[in-house]
Amino acid sequence: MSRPRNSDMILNVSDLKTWFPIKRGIVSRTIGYVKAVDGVSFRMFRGETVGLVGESGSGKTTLGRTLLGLEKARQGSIIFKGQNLLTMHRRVFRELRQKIQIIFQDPLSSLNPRLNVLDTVTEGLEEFGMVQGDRQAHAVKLLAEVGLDKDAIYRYPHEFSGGQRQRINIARAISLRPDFIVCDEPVSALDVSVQAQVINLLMDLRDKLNLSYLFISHDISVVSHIAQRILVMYRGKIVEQGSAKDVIHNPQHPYTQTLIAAVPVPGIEKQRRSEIHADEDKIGSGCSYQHRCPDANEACREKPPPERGEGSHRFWCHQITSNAKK
Amino acid sequence: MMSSSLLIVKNLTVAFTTDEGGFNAVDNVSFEVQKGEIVGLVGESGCGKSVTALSLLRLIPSPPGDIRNGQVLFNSQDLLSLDIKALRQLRGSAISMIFQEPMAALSPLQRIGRQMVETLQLHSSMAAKDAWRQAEEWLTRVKIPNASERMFAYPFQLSGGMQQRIMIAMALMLHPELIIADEPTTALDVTIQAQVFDLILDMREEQTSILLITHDMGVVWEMCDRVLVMYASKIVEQGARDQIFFHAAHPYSRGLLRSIPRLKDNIERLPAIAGSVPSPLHYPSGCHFRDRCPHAFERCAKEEPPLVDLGSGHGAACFIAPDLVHNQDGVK
Repeated sequence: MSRPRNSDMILNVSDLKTWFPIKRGIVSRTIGYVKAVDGVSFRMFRGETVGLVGESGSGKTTLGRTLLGLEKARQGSIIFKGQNLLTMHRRVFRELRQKIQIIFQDPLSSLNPRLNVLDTVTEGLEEFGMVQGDRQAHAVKLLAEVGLDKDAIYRYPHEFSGGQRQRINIARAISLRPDFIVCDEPVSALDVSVQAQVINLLMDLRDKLNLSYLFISHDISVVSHIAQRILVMYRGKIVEQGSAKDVIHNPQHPYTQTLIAAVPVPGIEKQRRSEIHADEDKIGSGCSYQHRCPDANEACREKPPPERGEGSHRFWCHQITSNAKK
Repeated sequence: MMSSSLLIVKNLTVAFTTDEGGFNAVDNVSFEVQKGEIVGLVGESGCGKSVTALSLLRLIPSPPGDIRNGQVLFNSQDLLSLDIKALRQLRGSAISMIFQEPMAALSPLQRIGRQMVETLQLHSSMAAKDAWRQAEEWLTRVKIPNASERMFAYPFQLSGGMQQRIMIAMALMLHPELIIADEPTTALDVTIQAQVFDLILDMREEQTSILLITHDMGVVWEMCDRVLVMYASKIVEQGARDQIFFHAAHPYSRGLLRSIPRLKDNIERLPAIAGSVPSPLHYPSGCHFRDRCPHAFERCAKEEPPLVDLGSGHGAACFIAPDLVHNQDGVK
């Protein structure tokens, strides 16, 4: 893939922090913070899919929700098409928000059980006065785009299978013709045989509508299929980023290496190696991965890891020599 | 070979009655588990794999469920006709279960230590003090940090990974001969999943047999000696792990293998299986897979395909299995 030009950049996130206060006592005094997103920076280009991987609790969903304004950021900037979403007026944000959509993990709970498909997929269009001609006709067109039959429009969410429900969610997400969609684990709840259909649909729509996806998943194999670039997140921080090829075939950060080694790959025998697993401890100013890293030393405990790497493939780690050997 | 069978399931049929009608959630299922063997039961949601597992220990609520037919021979004893008291003694000690959702399987009102000690004392005449010590040892074995403190924790105070490891410790600590594990790692991150696998593989060293229920072919590959593929209430293919992965003969198993996203794969599009899993109330006539099958022909609608023997314990319920088994183009 040729490197996109800078003018095609649609999203530039820098030093984004979303912290949740931990409150105690009768006056709810804040005694600390859960640093769900802690200084994340990345860019996205038009038509590009960026995969965001990490284990549960790593902050990947919070990051996605912060981009949509569903969580309040504490610090940083989110520049979407040249404008900072975090400092703009609510009214301006509302207009821009059409262009940023989300697809959630659970296809059933993310649909209103009392709205039929027609209302579900045209609600946003009505809100922004974007219905073209007949509402039914517009809905049918949207459904066709996601591979659903036109007689689906008067049916309700519970009447569909998981894969079909996710198609309805996708139809709703693309109804306002967004530029950018956060896909938060969109296929994790689906059966394997159906998962591939939905991944293929998302890829077709990306190419047809020139969409950009932030594709969040705990499953790095799924991400490796759809994403051109991958961000690896661990405890609120990005620990490695680069092209999908670089990250999968030549992982540099010890966490990425562990993550990839742990994925069962049918047809390939591998050696079993249990990882050192420590408890959730304070990480202070050091590396967020220090407690689980087999090679952690003094520097890792004291100082934040420096940025390393070549070209677009970057990682944040103190240990350069030990990574080369694996 | 027959003499070392720990579990023999013969023609198990479990029916469910709903307002919209009755159906067989498990339809004429037969398989065996040998001593020290890990058998994978793989299939998608609703295919009947969990109902099969629950039926083995008669844990299916009735109504709506009803075990219509079959035998479940555990050490030559039929669990389906066994006296309930004797069955209760077997549950937990000789056969234990690991459920998918640890939060639902652990009591929310009791501390971890208490629950573990209760289980130990129920099945042995151990003194409370010894039981406590042993429970604590098990927590350490499943790599729970600060085990002595965690004995006093309530389930909600622990992460999902820790809860699942506690479930596993509770299943293992009575040294059962058979463990039925229903999606034991589905809710866990891959790194934790790898640790759980290590624990389960250690158990096999002690001749424990495991029936591992999962929808994840990657898990099957890493863990299992033999595989049963289930689709729409029936076992459609069974065989040794390598037979299934390298010589899959049923169109469903082949589709499933093809559609898994694989790391380090260079293909752009995933070959998906067309359509979706049929509702058990509306299974097609003949072969249940024919609506989605690329090879279906007239006969598939008229007759139900029997399990075709492909040699060395490999079998597939498809008329053209003998041809497909030799043609692995596009299946990896």
